[in-house]
Amino acid sequence: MIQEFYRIERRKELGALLLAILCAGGAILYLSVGVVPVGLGESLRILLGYKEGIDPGHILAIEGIRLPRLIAALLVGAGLALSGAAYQSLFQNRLADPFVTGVSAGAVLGTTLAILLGFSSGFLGLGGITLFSFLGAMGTSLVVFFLLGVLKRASSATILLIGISLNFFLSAVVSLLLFLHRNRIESIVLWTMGSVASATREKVFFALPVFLLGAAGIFASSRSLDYLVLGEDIARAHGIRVPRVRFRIILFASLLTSVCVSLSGVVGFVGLVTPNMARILTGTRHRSVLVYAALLGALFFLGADLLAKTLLSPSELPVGVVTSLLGVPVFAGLVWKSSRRIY
Amino acid sequence: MHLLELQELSFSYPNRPGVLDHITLAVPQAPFLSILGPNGAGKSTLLKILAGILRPTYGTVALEGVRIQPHRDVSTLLAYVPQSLYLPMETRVIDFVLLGRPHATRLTGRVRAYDVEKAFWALERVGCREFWKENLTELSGGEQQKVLIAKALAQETTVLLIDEPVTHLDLRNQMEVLTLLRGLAEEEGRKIVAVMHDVNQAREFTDYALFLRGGKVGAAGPSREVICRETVESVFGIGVEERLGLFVRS
Repeated sequence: MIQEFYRIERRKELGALLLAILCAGGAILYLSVGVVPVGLGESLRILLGYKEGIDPGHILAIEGIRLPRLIAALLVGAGLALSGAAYQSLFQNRLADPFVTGVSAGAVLGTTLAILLGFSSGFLGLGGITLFSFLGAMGTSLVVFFLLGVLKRASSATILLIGISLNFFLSAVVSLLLFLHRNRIESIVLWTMGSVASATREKVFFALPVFLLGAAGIFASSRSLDYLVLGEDIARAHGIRVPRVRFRIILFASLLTSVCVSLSGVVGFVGLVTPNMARILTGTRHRSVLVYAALLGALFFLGADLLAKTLLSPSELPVGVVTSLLGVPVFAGLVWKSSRRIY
Repeated sequence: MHLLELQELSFSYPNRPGVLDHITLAVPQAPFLSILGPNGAGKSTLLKILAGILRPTYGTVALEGVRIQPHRDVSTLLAYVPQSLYLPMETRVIDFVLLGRPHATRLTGRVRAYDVEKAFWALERVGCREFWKENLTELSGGEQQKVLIAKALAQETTVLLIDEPVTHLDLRNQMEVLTLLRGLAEEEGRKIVAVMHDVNQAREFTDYALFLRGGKVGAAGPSREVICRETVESVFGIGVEERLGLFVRS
């Protein structure tokens, strides 16, 4: 039995390795595909810095446009998946997603304000929309933290209700603003459909440290998540300071979600489904679940964005539409398969 | 050293004062202690205070000479088995039992062989080794209860705190679980503290009984002596008589 246990463990490790290889392969393919096609080998050489004899136009297309977009896609996919996985365990609910604390509605409000107030230039080359959506998302998180501070004995269910209420409230504010400025509806609605097409070096340089901080925080909480998913009593009996740890997890997950939303707009499904896929494939230990979720999220978003930019080329589909269209059948297949065996 | 020492122990919920009301008590060393009493008497609350889950409103509590304080990691001293468990995700039995080994998973995500062996040993001890790959939620009530106990065993603590271990089980499983707990107390020197409802089972399987009533101690003493008609009648407020060594309603 113990040998079989380790055989399954090794299979899980190989699975993670395979996902990482698929991500790397997908990344090279992603760099090659576009209005100006670039060979796979050529893309790899540019990525590794061997640029001799390569068309400068190709170098510019990859380094200036596609690489920032690739990194943005990987960060958004992995970030939403990690945040979703953390919230699902924290709230003991498989239907929780990265936007459960109202962060997405805050980001949409920020973006709406940026568009309506004409803050398109932004700060440090970030763009007003990126900056305002990040501030809107983090502002919403601050409201949640404030309420958590006031309601010291709040249960996870109460926090969930606070998030849902905030979501409704901020969405209503956005609807009111849209109603009053109907001529601007299109640009705001398009943003909410999600896209990483406007990713720039500056945005990636801004997002990367925030992502790393958030991801490190979530990974560092993996042991706490192992117990929190069984309920607060069990967690407390294992010496976990539940309010403090919960606060920390929400903080890091909010950072991740906020930075993802500021990069891509609101992209649904990734943060809900990929953590569930990870659990089906690897089980309940969060050290593995988080690795799988991040890799699956990155791979899934990469694939979806690749389709988004190629299906109707030269025009593009919103990636949020593709993630849902692509994700539902994939997930349904996994659920059907998992109903017959446990990983 | 006493098994359990309570000093002026009080606990109130925000909208329910006096759940435990200034209890001072010293329970001598006993392999198997049962906490009995009517619903709402404060039994599970006392167990959660012992497990460090709830903070007393007033007073102190010590288990095996160690003062229990919330937020202090007592998982090396005691293991807590809840009355029921809500599992939102499919959980393999072995992964659940491994949670009794908090440092089983290395930074790399690999599980240490020593901890895996301990987890399989715990499953073997409760007779559930063959279920290691199964989904915990798909096991029967009795098997689930045994797996919960296995996780506590894997923790390798002296004390096991168990909240109503047999409440939802059929008669056969009740006997199996109680016999298992008795065996753990006798053969391995574990100290079992269990919240129970059935006074007959408490008299048969436990060594010491603590009756709570309205947040105060109703009676306490060796099970064979303290679990008698007078105690049962005064604590539960019903008339009983003893037939064939069992208490039945008169």
